[in-house]
Amino acid sequence: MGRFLLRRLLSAAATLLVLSVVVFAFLNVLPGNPGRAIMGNLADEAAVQALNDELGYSDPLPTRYFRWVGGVLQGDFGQSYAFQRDNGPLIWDALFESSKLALMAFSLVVPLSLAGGVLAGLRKGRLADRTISTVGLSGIAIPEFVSGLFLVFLFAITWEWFPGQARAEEGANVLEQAYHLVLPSLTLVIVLFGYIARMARAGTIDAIESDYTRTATLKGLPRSTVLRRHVLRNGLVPTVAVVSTQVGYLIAGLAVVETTFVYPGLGSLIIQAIPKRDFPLLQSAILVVGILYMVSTLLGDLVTAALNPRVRLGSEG
Amino acid sequence: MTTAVPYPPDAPPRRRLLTLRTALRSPVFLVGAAVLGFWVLCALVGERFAPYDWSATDPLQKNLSPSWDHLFGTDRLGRDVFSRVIVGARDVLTIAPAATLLGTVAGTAIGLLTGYLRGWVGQVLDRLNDSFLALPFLLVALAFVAARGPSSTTVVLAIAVGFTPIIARTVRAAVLVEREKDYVVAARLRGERAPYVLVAEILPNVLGPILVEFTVRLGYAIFAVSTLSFLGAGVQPPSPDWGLAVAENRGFFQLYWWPVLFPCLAIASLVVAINLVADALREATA
Repeated sequence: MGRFLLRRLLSAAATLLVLSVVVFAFLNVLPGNPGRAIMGNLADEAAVQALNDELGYSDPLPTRYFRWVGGVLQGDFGQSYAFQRDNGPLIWDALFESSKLALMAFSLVVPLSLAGGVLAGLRKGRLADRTISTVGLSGIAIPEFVSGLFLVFLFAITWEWFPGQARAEEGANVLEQAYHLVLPSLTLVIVLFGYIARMARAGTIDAIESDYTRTATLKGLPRSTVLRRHVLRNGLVPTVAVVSTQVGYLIAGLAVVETTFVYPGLGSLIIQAIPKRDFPLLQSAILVVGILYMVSTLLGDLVTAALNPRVRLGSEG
Repeated sequence: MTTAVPYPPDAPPRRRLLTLRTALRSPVFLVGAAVLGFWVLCALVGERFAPYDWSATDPLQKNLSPSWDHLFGTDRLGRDVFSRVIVGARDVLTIAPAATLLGTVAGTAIGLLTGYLRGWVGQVLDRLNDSFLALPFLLVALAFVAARGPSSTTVVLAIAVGFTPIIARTVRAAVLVEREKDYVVAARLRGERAPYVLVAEILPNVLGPILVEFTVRLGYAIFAVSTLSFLGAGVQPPSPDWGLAVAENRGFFQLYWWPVLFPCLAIASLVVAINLVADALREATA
């Protein structure tokens, strides 16, 4: 386990390094000019140049890259042009709001989609399977803002059951906040359900068709025991890995859902920073997303390895 | 021995064609293809058949609810929503296929190379690919648009850049299987050079997965184009693009739902149709 962990950590670190270079290159090598973006089209060239110098934008690229990465390693995420504040607190506050939404969505979608996927797997080819698979597929295919607005149309405008905006009033209690988050969470559930249910279905079918399940059945074990001890325990292992990789998706999906429901999370922070060409905020926020994604994938791998000795001991595929 | 064994022996081409044909006759495929065909038709000639000029504003006719005169109502500038939805297929059905094609060509080239070449070139490309895949696709596209400013060309490039590593991974996996097969070994023993083996021998045999990946990606490209337009990072006004229309009218959703809901329905029907087609193709080639 120790060696496996070490190897995964090293490869995650290498990928993060490349990632930071790619993000930096994207935002800095391509044309664009923060001084001009801040001061507008009317400002004169000398003033724009002076501001660029002051922001350190005139330094050579490698200097700027190492200043940024060095800062991030010490917990300094730079200064936002648009908000005139440190990026660190901006990003952490937004991340806190996003994680409330993500937590609620995850706690709804994981049990739902596992149950749906296992049911579809057990009834492979029957009506229940085809319904669940088709619903799941459509949920994945339709953009979040479309399904979100459908939900708003039905539950906030036509029937007025839930609020159409995600932000509860200042100082609202947990229940009140959760109530406001119902529709945005459901939007995320619609998208994620298909992915997780599909994996759970495939894993269940694999386990049912395996030799050990046949043996267990022929041995005379009751069906419920076969399902619980043999099918589910093996069939859900691959699903664990998928659930963890969905965290990365979730953050991008959050950008759209947060914008649709006017919610101040990390996703909508990134969306707001784009038209303002707030590069320091963008590169740090995107890097944080990358780190979160790496960590969640790593956790998923570790859980998979803990559940399955073949992954832990064998060579990585 | 009566007849010659068809080449390659492990994949008789006639049977493959037959399974493809039966799959294409499936109701799922037909429904998807019909809806997709309808929108393609709208994109090509919709402007001629739309009851009103999609760009004509009319201050006296604004925010009208759906009626026989205006099937889908009018928006806040008095433009006919039905005509705008019809013509709105145009931008998304130009940008998405262009982006997918570009990403598929680039991804196929990289996938062929990384799958076939061992040594440092393959490894470096592989690492780069992994780090790209580590980022959610939409964020890569958004960062790209942020750097270049929103326009149709930027959206095409952004989506193509986002797709390239994903397609490269699929192609690479297929090439890794093919390169061990007898016909590739035979070609190599004949003394063929790597470019010839890749293009003339391996590429035709991995076209199946590439085609499936293309249709799957096309569905996602439409998703991405609409989403980028919705976020204000895609097609710009006054285009009647669906995602843009939703973004423009969303603020008044509670009062006037029709200029938002109908473009939403159009997006949903198009992406589901493409996914039905992609699914039928995937099952046919599997």
